[in-house]
Amino acid sequence: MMDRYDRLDRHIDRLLANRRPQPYVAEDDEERAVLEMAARLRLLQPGAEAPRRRFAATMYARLRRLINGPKGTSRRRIVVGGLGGLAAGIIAGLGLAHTNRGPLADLGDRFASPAQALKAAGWAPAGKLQDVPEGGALAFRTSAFSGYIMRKGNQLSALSAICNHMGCHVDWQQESSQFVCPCDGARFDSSGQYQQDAYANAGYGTLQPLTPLAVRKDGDVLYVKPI
Amino acid sequence: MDREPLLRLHRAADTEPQRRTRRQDHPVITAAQLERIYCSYVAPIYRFIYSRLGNRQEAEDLTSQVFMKSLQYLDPTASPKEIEAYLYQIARTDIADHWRRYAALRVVPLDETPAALDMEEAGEATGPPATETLKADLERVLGLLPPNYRRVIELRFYDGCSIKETARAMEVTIANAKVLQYRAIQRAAALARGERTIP
Repeated sequence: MMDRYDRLDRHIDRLLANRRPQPYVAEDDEERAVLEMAARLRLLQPGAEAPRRRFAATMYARLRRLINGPKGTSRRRIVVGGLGGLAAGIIAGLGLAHTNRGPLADLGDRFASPAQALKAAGWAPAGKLQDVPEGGALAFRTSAFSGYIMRKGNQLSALSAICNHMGCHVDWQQESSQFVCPCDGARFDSSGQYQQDAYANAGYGTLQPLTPLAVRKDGDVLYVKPI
Repeated sequence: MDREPLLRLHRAADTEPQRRTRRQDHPVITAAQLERIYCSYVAPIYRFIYSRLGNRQEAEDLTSQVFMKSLQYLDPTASPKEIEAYLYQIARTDIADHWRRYAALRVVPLDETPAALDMEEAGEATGPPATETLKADLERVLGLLPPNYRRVIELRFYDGCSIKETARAMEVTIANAKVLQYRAIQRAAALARGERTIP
């Protein structure tokens, strides 16, 4: 079993080799902060921060082809990989993302209600507390993303429903307490961790975990936000 | 906190260029506009992204993604300052997305309502940071570290030594070198956040 010191060391080795690190779920925010700092420390190696000529030229050619594409090719159809949908949603609400650090009470004079203050701070209403079954998951969809809110005893958590592999919407399976991707059959446990055994046999290797979301409640209403 | 930026951002969200992106007849970017935007910004945007991700592979992927998105959302007739701000905004969002993949699941106790709205990224500046500033910040942070912490970081990141070589140079076991490396970076992260006290 690897601990956080080993994980970081392996991560740094890949950074130093200019190779793509394998994302993993950090145990806590502290571990994530360390990973981010390790990336920043790469600037210490001189000369690494200029783009390679060949990369810049290839990308330019690609962009030019895109704008000169066949007539009727709407730029809306350019598909951007990764969390494109989520990112687009955030971009649309960018103006709202940077607002305030103070407690809700301080916002009282600016917003008519705490609900409004939450929305202005980027929290999206996602459902009612009583709709989340104990030990189960409530599917929700906001204008920016879709996901699940889970309740286990006294605790709430939320995950994006979009599989980081091909961008498919995973389904919650109550019997197994797992998320199942309809596109490739991959399974994730209720904390979003990819379940190795079910999938590795097919030779696909490992998959990234589902993306966690921040969740909070105000009264009976549940709010979610990207972390 | 100052109220003015909030108001300004609210208005900015409804500017004409953004409204137009929602319509089909959004002005198409010309080859000349693309050249101007791309040639001016590809290097600084790449540098910025590299400074946050720390490896060429991912920095190249994300730079491509930023420019692909800019074709979708950018109004080419906007002023250079607006275009620059927009590209950095997309880059920041994508970098945040990137780090989200490492995020731990947050578990919130039901009977406790958080007292404050946490805005992790609100502290980020909106303008384009110069690489020199990023580097100077790092050097300032390193200068504040205890000598053995600074040494392990320099050996690994500046000299590019393996953990084995680092351990030998510091006369500790490999396991100890890994712990030292973690603690050093953890302290550096705290210093970079502006915390002066030892975590």
